[in-house]
Amino acid sequence: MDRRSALKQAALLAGGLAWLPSCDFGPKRVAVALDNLQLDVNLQDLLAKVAATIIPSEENESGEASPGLARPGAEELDLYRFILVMVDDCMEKEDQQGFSNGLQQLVPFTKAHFEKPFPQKEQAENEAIITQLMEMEEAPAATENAEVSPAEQLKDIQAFLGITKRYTIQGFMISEYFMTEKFPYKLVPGPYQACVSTEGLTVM
Amino acid sequence: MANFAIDSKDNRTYDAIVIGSGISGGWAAKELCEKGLKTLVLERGRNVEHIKDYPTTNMMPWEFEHRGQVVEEIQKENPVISRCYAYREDTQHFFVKDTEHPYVQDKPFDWIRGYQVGGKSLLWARQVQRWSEYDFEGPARDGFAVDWPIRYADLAPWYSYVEKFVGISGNKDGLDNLPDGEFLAPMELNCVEKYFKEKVETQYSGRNVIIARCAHLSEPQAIHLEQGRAQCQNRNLCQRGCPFGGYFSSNSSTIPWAMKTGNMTLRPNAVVQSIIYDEEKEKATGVQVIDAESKESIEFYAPLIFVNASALHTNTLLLNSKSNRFPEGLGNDNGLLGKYVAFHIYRGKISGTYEGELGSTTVGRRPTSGYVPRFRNVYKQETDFLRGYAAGFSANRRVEREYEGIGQSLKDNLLNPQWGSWRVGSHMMGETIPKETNTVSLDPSQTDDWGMPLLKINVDYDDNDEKMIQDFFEQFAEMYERAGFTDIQTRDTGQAPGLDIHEMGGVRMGKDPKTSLLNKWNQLHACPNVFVTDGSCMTSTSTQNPSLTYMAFAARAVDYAVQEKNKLNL
Repeated sequence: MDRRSALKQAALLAGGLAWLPSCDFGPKRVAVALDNLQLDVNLQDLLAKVAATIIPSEENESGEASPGLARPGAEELDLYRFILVMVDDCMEKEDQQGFSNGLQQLVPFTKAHFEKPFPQKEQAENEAIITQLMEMEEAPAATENAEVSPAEQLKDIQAFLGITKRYTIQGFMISEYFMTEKFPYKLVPGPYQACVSTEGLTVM
Repeated sequence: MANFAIDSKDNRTYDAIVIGSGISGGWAAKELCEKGLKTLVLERGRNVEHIKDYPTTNMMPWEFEHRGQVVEEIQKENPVISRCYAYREDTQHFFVKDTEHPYVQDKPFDWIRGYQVGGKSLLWARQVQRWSEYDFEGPARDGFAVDWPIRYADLAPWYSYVEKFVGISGNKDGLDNLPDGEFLAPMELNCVEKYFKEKVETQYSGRNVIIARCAHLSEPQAIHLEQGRAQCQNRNLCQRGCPFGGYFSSNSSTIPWAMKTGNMTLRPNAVVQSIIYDEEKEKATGVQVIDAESKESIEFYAPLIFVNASALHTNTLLLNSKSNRFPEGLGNDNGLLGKYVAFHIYRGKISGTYEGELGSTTVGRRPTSGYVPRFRNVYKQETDFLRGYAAGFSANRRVEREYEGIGQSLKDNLLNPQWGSWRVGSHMMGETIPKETNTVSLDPSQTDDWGMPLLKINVDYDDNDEKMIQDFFEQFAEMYERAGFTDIQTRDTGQAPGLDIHEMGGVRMGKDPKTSLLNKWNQLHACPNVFVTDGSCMTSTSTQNPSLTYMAFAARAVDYAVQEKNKLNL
């Protein structure tokens, strides 16, 4: 596998494509190069939206998202890239399929069965939708002309959300931000202290 | 004419040849070179130079594309190596993949290998406990294998000799079942480990909990600085290779030391196929080598040969060294070569929770753990199984996070962990009894890409092992209960032999040429200018991590070999 050169090529190509009119989700127009998954840029953007719903950015006092400042979330940390790489490289074919199906079913399913489809503008609304999906125990009744049964759809969506949550958390906790600013990891940690009072110590 | 010079036999003749550059080969090389012998060190794998060839050593966790995980495709194609605890994204370049070097498993055997200069000394767990008198006496007392031709007193000075150079952190515990050595400052047990030590030592006689002795420079001495090594920085990233030389490896220590003498020629990518035996001289005269890259065949010559190819490979090499005199393999007059292979039982694990010491924790990292020396059947037979087990012991303060839900609450929870209770755990390291039925042999038809017959491994657990595992569970569950630990859980990993990475034997030492291959100097009875000082020489296995003993054997054997050479006996 040679993801790096693939990425380079994709980036070079993207230089030419950057002027094309974009739609849907703003400036990220380069799909992450993958070996096994086939997910276009729109689906990758959708994944990014789910990850950002799981670990949101935080707004500063002026009401603007502040990636450099306070507490970045999945979006600023580009966690969707990590999730894609992990699913693509570290999961079995079957689970990759479930992930891929679930991601693709997310919008159609919520359109068909929910009051509001995913994604919405507000974090709270998106959280409600994703939570509802994750906690749903019974699939809704089938709508007319549905190609895939809602039960099948829901199963894949829940598998997808489970995987995405797991890797979002992992990506967040092993991010440079988390491991430098929040819980500093040091290559050279200093002497081992065998018995220290927890009083006033950062829990880590 | 230049080619002629390069190819001439003189240019391929040395005073000594060492086959293998791992932990024991590195020692043989260092000792031979220091004693002034022009020494050729042959290594089947690529060269790995200290610091320069540790590509991941200074990488941060988030810099690994898969955050440490080995990708699915590699794991699927290489199930054996993927089961090794140390095979991770940051270390995988130092391990042999199953697909690259196949072998035949008559019974499941996880053969963990590192083909490079330094071998597995780059990757080892760095635990260095001495054997005791009770370990060397074991086979004779309990009537298995054959009697060791040496006793603790024979090896003790050589333990000291290598320990001083290697640099061993340890505490002088004064235990006769785990003798003290030449120690640098010990690492420290944490509060819960100390608590367990106190509970165990006051409630049981003959049971101890100590800080494990490890090959780390806790307090480097002049001899270590001279090697270019520095104090251990407690990074605990050892298997990536240590830029400080904080732990001992051939790469950081013996190989550069040997190189500095000017007497060593190191030849990587040299697969030794066989040892050449000269029937007129009644001696080994050299080795037949295949260049791993060009696949060219080439012979090297020396009057003295050290075999340190790793336990099972040394068996392969000797079995494959056939001649009219030795049709079944070099030195194999009694047909025992490749038999009595043994290993350590690592199947038993136990864990628990401790709710005390909740005001304390540890800070930083520590590259060793607590250790419980063998307490079963040490002074006399007292159970319905032979021998016994040592165990690790460590305690860690838990950090707990709530992973429920999504959104801001999840994020807050991830960023605000809470102290949990202490988690305690032990794993057993059990002695197995070498048996004639646990064997390695050459596959009669299949060869590898370099023309070497594939090794067939036929090694299994027995009833004694099963009883010992149960006893470990019972004894440790009781010790944990008496210490007030709760939520005690035992687990039999069910792992195959080999994953302990302590495979030993096949070329065992003994007093009698009829029942052993090597004499008390690690010399083939039937071909005395060949010395075997790696794990294959082991007559029995005891419970200690074996590398220290191999190093001591290597240094001792070189000393003897050079004395004999000077007396013109070799």
